[in-house]
Amino acid sequence: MNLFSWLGELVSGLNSFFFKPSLPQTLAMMRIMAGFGVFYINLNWTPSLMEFVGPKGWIEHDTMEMIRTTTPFEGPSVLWDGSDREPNPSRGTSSYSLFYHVTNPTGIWTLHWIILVVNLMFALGLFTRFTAVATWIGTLSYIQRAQTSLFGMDTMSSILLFYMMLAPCARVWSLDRLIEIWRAKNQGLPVPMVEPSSEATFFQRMIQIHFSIIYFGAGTSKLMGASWWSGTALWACVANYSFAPMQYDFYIRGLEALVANRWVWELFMSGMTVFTLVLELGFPFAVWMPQMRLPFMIVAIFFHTGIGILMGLRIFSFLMCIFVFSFLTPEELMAVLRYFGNLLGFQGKGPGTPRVSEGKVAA
Amino acid sequence: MSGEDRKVSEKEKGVLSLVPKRSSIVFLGIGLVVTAAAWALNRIYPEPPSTAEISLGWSGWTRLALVVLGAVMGGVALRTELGRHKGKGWPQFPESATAAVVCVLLAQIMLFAGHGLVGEASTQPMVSNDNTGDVITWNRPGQMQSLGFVCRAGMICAYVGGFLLVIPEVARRVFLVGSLTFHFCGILSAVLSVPPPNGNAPWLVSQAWTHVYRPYLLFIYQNNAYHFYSPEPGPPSFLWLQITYTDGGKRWFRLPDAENSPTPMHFQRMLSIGESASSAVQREAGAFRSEAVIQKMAQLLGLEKLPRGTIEPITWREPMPNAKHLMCSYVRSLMSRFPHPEGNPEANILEGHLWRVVHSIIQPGEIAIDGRDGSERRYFVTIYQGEYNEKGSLQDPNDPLLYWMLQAYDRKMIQQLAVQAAERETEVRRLRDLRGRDQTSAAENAVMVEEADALKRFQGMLQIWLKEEAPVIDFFKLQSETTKFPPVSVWAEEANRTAKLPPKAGAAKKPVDDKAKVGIRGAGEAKP
Repeated sequence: MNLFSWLGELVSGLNSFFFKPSLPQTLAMMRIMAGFGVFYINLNWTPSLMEFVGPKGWIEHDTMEMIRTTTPFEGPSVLWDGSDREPNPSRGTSSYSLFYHVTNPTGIWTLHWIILVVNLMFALGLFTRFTAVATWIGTLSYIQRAQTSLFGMDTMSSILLFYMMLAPCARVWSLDRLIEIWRAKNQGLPVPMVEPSSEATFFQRMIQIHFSIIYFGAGTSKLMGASWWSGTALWACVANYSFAPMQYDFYIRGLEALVANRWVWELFMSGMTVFTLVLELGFPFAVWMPQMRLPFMIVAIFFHTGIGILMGLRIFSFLMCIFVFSFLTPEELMAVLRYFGNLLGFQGKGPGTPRVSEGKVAA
Repeated sequence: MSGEDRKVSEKEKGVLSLVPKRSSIVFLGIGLVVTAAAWALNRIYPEPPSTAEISLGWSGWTRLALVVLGAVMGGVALRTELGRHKGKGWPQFPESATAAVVCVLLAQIMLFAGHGLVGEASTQPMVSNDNTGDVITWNRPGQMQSLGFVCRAGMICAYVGGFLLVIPEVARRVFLVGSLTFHFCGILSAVLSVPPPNGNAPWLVSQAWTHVYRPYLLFIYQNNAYHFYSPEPGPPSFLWLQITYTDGGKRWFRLPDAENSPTPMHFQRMLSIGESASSAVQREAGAFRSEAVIQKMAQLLGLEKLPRGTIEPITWREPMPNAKHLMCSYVRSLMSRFPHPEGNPEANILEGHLWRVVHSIIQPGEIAIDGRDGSERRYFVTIYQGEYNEKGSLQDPNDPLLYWMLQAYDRKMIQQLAVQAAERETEVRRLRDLRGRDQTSAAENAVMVEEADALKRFQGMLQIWLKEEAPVIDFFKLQSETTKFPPVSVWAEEANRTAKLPPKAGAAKKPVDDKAKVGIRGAGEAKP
C-alpha cells in the first residue's frame, strides 16, 4: 500500500466517521434527558436565587465585576531568562451573564422564570433552534455569575447544552415535529420524512469525542496521585463525611466491617481503584472498538450510578449517563426502547423500527 | 415569478440569485430595524453601568427586548431561506447563495445588537477596600458589556455559516473537521495546562491556552481540566464565620450547613463555596510570622512562652488574592443578611471572625485499632482567615494567627506532649549539669535554664488540662471563646427551635436526626 492510497483510505474513513448520514433519534433522546436535567438544575436555584445571583449574594456584584475584569492571565515566558514578562498581562475574562447586569430582585426573578420556561420548551422540543440557544445562554448566566458555587454537574450541563444547541436534536420526538406533521396534514400534504443526516452524525461524534477526552483527562490526572498508585484513593471518597452517606448507620457499620480485615480492605480498595483507572483510561480507546463498546458503556453506566448513590452526585451522574448514551446508534436506541416498552406492556405502542424508504425514515 | 412562490427547480440550478424570499426579506428587515433602533436608543438614552443598587433601566430592558426580537427575526429569516431546501440536505452553491446573503445580513443584525446593548465603561476608577494586602483598581465595565461577547460570537457564527453555504461540499467538510480539531485542541489545552504537583504545565500547551484558547473556552465555559478527585481526592473544606454584635451577642454561620440547604444540590454548591477559599499561594511564612504565631498561641494558653518542639502550627496557607476577596464577599453577604442579633434590632454588627475548616479523612487503621469516629474534633483542622470589620474588610492583614493551620490536641495527644516535655526537660537539665558552669557562657546557661523552666511550666499547664473530663486543647475555641465544637449555626438553632414547636394537628412526627443537627452531613455532634 503506498502513501497515497493510505491517505485516500484515511480521508475516506474520516469522511465516513464524521459525515455518514444517521438518524437523529439518539440526539433527540439526549435533548429530552439533558433538557429536563438542566431544567431541574436551574429550578434548584429557586429557593436561594438571590444568594447565588443577587447583588448581595455570596459573590457580591462589585467583587464579581472586579474579578471578571482584573484577573490576570499570563503565559509562560518565551525567553529563557524571563525578561519578556509583561508588567501588565492581559486581564479580564470573556465570560457573560445576564445576572452581571440585572441586579434588582424583580428583574432577577423575571429572568429566572423566563429561563425556566424557555428551558422547558427546549426539553419538549418547541421552537428548538431558538430555545436551545436561549437555554444555553440562560444556563451559562447562572453558572458564570455563581462561579464559586459550581461543581462537575455544571460543567457537564454546559457541555451538553453547547452541542445540543448546534445539533439537529429536535427533528424527532419534539413538539416541533408534531407541529410539522400537523401542518402537513392540515395542508393535505404527505407527512414529511425524517432523513438521516450528516449533521446528526457530526455532532454525535463531537459529543462522543468530548466525553472520551473527559475520561482521558480524569484518568491520566489520577496517575499523578500517590494514593491512586497505592490503591487507597477511593477511601478518601467513601470515608468523606461531606459526600458519603455517613448519616446511615448501615453505611458506618459497612465501613467498620471493611476495615476489620486488612486483606479485605486492601483488596476492595485496590480493586475499586483499578476498576476506576481501567474504566477511565480504557474507555476513550475501547469504546471505538465494536466488540468493546457495549461492555464499556454498561460498565460506565454502573460506575456513574454508583457515584450517584454513594457520593450523592445524582444529577451529575445522570448527565454523565447521557454522555454514555451518545455512543448508542439510533437503531440500538430504538431496540432498547422497544425492549423496555415490551417489558412495561406497551407492545406495539413504543417507537417502532424506523421505516426506511429510499434513505428516508418516518418518525 | 414572485420571490414568495419561487421554488428551487432544475431550471434554477446553476443560476446565481442573491435575492432571498420575500418573507425572509421582511423578517430580516424587521431584525435590522429593531436592532438599529436599539442602537439608536443606546445613543439617546445611555445607561450607567450596573451596580448593586443600579440595575438595568427601562432603556436597557427595551434594548434587550429589541435585540432578542431582532436576533429571532434574523434566525427566522435564515430558517425560512433554508426551508426552501428542506429534505435535500445542505444546499449547494449557487442555490445556497440567498441563504448566505441572509447569513451576512444576520451578522449585521448581531453587529447592531452589540452596539445596541453595550454601554460606555465608567471612567471613574474603583478601588477594592477589602484590605487584603493587594490594592486593585478597575473601571466598571459598560452596561451589558458581557452580552457584547454573545453578540460578537453570534456575528462570527453568522459569517462562518454564510461562508459554509457558498463553499463546495468537500471544502465544507474539510472546514468542519478543521473546526472540530481546533475546538478539541482547545479542550485538550484546558486539560493539559494544569501543572502537575511540583512541576510545570507543558510550555506549548500553556502558550496555546493563554494566547489562543482562553477567551474561547471561558466564553463557552469549557475550561475544565476534568481532574475529578485527582491527583489526590482531598478532604472537604468549610468556612465558619462568627459575627459579633454591638450588644455582645454572637452568631455562627457555617458554609455549608445542612440546615441551610433546602436541597442536596444546594449543599453541594455550598461545599464548592468552602473549596473556593482553599487555593493557596506557594509562599513560606517566614521567620517573623512563625515566631509571632508561637507567641500568640502561648498567649492563648496563658503561658509566657511555648517551648520549642511542643505545640506548633501545622503550616501556613496564605490564600490566593482572589480567594481573599471572595472571603470578604462571603462575609459581607452574610453581614448584609444578618445585620442585627436576634430580638435586638437596635444592635449592629461589631466584627466578624472567619475560619477555614478542613475535615480530614479518618484513616482505616484509626477505625480498626482505636475505634475512632471521623467526626471527632481531632479530624478538624482550622485555619484562621482573619477579623473583619462591619463593612466586611479585613481588619489586620498582619494578625499573627492569620492563615495558620492549627490542630486540636485530645487527651491522648496531650498525654504524649506531657511525656515528651518531661523527657526534654530532663535532657536539658542534664546537659547543663554535664557541661558544667565553666564550659558554658552565662548567656547559654540562661537560655538552657529558661528552656527547662518553660518546659516545666508547659507540663504544669498540660496537667491542668488533663484534669478535665474531656480535655481538648483547641485554639479555635480559645480564640473564638466558644464552648461547642462544631459551633451551632444560626440555621441549626432555627431548626432546633422549629423542632421544639408542638407538631401541627395531623402532622406525622418526624424523628429528629442528631447527625443532621450540626450541619456536617452525617457527621453528628462532634465528640468533645
